[in-house]
Amino acid sequence: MNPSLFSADGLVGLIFLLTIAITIAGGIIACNSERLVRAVAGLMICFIGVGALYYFLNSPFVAMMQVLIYVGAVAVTISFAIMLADPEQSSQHGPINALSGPFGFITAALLTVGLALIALKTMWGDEPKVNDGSVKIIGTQLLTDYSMVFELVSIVLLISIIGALVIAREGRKS
Amino acid sequence: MLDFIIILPLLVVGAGAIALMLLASMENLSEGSTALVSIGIFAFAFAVQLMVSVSGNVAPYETAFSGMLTASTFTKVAGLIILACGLFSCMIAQTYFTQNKFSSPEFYSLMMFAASGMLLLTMAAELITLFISLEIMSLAIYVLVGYDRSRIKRSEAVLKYLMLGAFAGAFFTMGAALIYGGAGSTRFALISKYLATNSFLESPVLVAGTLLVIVAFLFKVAAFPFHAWVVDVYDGAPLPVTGFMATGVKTAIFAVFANFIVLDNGMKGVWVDYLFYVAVFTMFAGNLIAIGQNNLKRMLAASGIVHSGYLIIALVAVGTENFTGGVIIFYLAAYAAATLGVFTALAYLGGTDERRDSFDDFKGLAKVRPYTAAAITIFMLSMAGIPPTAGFMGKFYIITDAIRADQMLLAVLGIVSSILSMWYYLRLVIMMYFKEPEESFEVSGVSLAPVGTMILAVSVFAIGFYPVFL
Amino acid sequence: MSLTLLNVIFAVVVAIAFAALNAAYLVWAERRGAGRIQRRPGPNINGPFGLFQPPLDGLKLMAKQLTIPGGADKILFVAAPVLSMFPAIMSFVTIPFSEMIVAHNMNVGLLMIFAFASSGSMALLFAGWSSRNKYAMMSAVRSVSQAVAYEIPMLITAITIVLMTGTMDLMEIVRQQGPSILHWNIFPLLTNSHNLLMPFSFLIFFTCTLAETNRAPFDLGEAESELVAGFHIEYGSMGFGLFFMAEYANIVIGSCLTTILFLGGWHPPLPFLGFIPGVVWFLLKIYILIATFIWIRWTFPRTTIYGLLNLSWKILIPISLFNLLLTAGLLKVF
Repeated sequence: MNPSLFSADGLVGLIFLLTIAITIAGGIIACNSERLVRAVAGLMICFIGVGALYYFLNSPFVAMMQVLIYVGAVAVTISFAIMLADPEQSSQHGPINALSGPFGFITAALLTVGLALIALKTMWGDEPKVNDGSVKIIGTQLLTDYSMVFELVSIVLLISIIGALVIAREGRKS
Repeated sequence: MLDFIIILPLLVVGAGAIALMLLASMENLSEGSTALVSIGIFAFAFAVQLMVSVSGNVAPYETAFSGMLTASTFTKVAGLIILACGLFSCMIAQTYFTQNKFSSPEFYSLMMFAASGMLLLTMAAELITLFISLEIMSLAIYVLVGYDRSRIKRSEAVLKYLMLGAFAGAFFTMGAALIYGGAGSTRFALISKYLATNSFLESPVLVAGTLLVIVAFLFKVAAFPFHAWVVDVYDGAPLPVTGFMATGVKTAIFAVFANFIVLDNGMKGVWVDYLFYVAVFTMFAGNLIAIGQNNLKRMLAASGIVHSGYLIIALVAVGTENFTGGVIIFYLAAYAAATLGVFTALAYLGGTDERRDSFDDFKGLAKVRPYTAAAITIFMLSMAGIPPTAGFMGKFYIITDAIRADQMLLAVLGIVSSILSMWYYLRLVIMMYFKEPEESFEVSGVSLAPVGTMILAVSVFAIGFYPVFL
Repeated sequence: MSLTLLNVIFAVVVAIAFAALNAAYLVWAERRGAGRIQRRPGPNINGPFGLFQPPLDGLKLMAKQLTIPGGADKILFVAAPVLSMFPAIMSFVTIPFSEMIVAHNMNVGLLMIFAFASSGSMALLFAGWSSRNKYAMMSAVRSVSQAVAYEIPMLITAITIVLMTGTMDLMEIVRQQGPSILHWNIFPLLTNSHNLLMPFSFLIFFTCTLAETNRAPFDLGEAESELVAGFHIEYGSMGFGLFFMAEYANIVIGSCLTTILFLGGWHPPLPFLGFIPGVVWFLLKIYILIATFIWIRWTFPRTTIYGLLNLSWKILIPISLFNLLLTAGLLKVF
């Protein structure tokens, strides 16, 4: 059943499509822009779109974390790193090879068609909600069933910090 | 409490890594003693792993930590191999850093973190745990590959590895998400239960998900069509890291690959057909690349591809019932011993800035350093699969396993590939024994690597005569 | 789901109006306050008490030409002011002005405000970078490093409150602070953790709000004596107007959050005063806080950038972490 455009559901559907358009547009800007800072802006738009999609999937907590971490922290960190780039940098194209031309396009098209087919062919049942997605439940799960993973993530962070320090400590000499 | 006993070796290595970071703040800590401390930690963890008894021969998915980890004899032995790889890599590093000056305590610390990621990977029984352990391992290895920023070759290697590794990680995540969508759980035990009642092929999500996960694994073990990065990366990485990557990473990934593929017979049945082609192409592509190499490290990298091919044959032949993984683990042990053996020898023969690295540089080694040359010959023979070495036994088991699983063609192709590979293994032996020496192979610095070489040369035979895991 | 979304859209429209009105008249209040503090009249010509000054200023800004400096990244230059309004407007959606007046109450409301607040620093970066001006760039980098530094103690303090109340739902947080002034989170005696350090937490949170909104004495980003005018130096016309509005909207949001977390939201200080509607109490509280903002701005000298960063990393973060642990411990005890 297709709700009419001017009903409440229709409007929500429209906003959903808009969210998807924003996400894709952000991704395209991030990949294709010639200025690094614009690419970061595109990435940010893409992140916000993804956050909105999480909201549509009934998990506001993940949506907010997406915005808080990816837009507020990751994108800011990336832009700090590339702010020093010259805004008038000339576009530097590598040699155009088969991968960036037709082959890349074919691969992308195949992936798209493949994923679309999967989405259409699968019998998506009405899965019951695992939980209500509240902060309390997520916290409890993280500290009971998923405690192992939760602790392991801290090792990932530790390695990243050590690695960043090691790599940044000395500049390239030659 | 039992849960913690299972991961005790992991705790030892992880705590060791952190302790080493703290030790690094001591002013008078010399490089040599850092290496000794880390060797000690690996040895201790090895002993602990050896003592942690997993009750008998457990079926897959005897779980710990509410289904996040699994432990069996298979994971135990895989852990032993990984810890031994870490130990010998530290020996290599100790010698290597007497000639190449870019060491710091963090190097060993990251090595231990990588080892803990590998240990987790062998035990992972849940997709999220698997992904995070994969990332722990990969992150540490990325940093290790690019550790020496003074040389552009290293930067090239780390960039290639990082980019493609990130792709593999993305594939894995996508696959894991699809599998979760299809089976409703990320735990191997529950996925297995779901597959027992529902047909694998009827769910396109599961098919696509497993495909993506398998692609990620194939990338990490450098199997055909995802093998192109391996030669440059192994060549660009510092020698100890190359040794560790070639052996430890491969062991960990094949262990988890085997754990994953035995999830369900139906699923395995589908992929076996494709893995067949992957195995064949991997072996022959690896051989072709290896034959063309003049550089020893690049040759070993390419031969690593070939060995991945053999291991995939073993995967094809693995049975879902009574899974022990004995064949895989035996071959991995044999391969690790031989590869690390060559790398320990290269550690002291390589000289400053890895000066000697091509076949020609080793002309007439046997006349100047007969014992080292003999050891290298043993390693080469083991890799080529000539009796009575461990490599021969490993290949023997894989081939018989393939025949038992009615994969006659695969067995024959495996033998053909094995014969092809003698071309480049024996070429080094010929260089060492039948050419006149052009230099005196001076080696500076007293170090542990020669000891390691001898131990590994002995263990190549020891492993060959000790097939207990079958 | 569908109705809440419409609600949200409606609320956004109202929020824009509210933010614009607030910005306009807070500027007036600021200038009058400054005048009083500096013993001069301030704007008093147009209308009674100069009350027509803000709309006239607005008209003037709108009538001006929007100049884009040569060499600037045009798209980002235009996008940045709009982007800076976005987090402030979105945050209004979930703020409960009283038991009844809330656009869309979420069970992660607190998180949502922080999420959008943190994305505000992207706007500053884009504005500073796209202007192609050294001063703008430097001040953007300063502002962002400051925002990042002060976000941490602010979040930790907010987590302390979440620990005490057990929820991120802003309405629930307020509900638990009734009925009298003694139950407010700032006062430690009757709250469930009995943590005597809560007034300090309030001070930390308030300080962080000052810093997050780039207000004096932490307005290093626009230190006129060294950086001319901050990251919006190249903006004229409504570009500047939007940044200005965003700044005041952020101040309002910060005050709202402080009121909700520490000062009992819409609850009257004493139960018998309950006949006055909650929204009045709420607005009263936030305007008292805003008055404090203005008061501080015109009476405290500006700090230095090192002093600023040291204050956050070396003093506020350790204290707030300690307070978090203490609260957790006390909650376990009582």
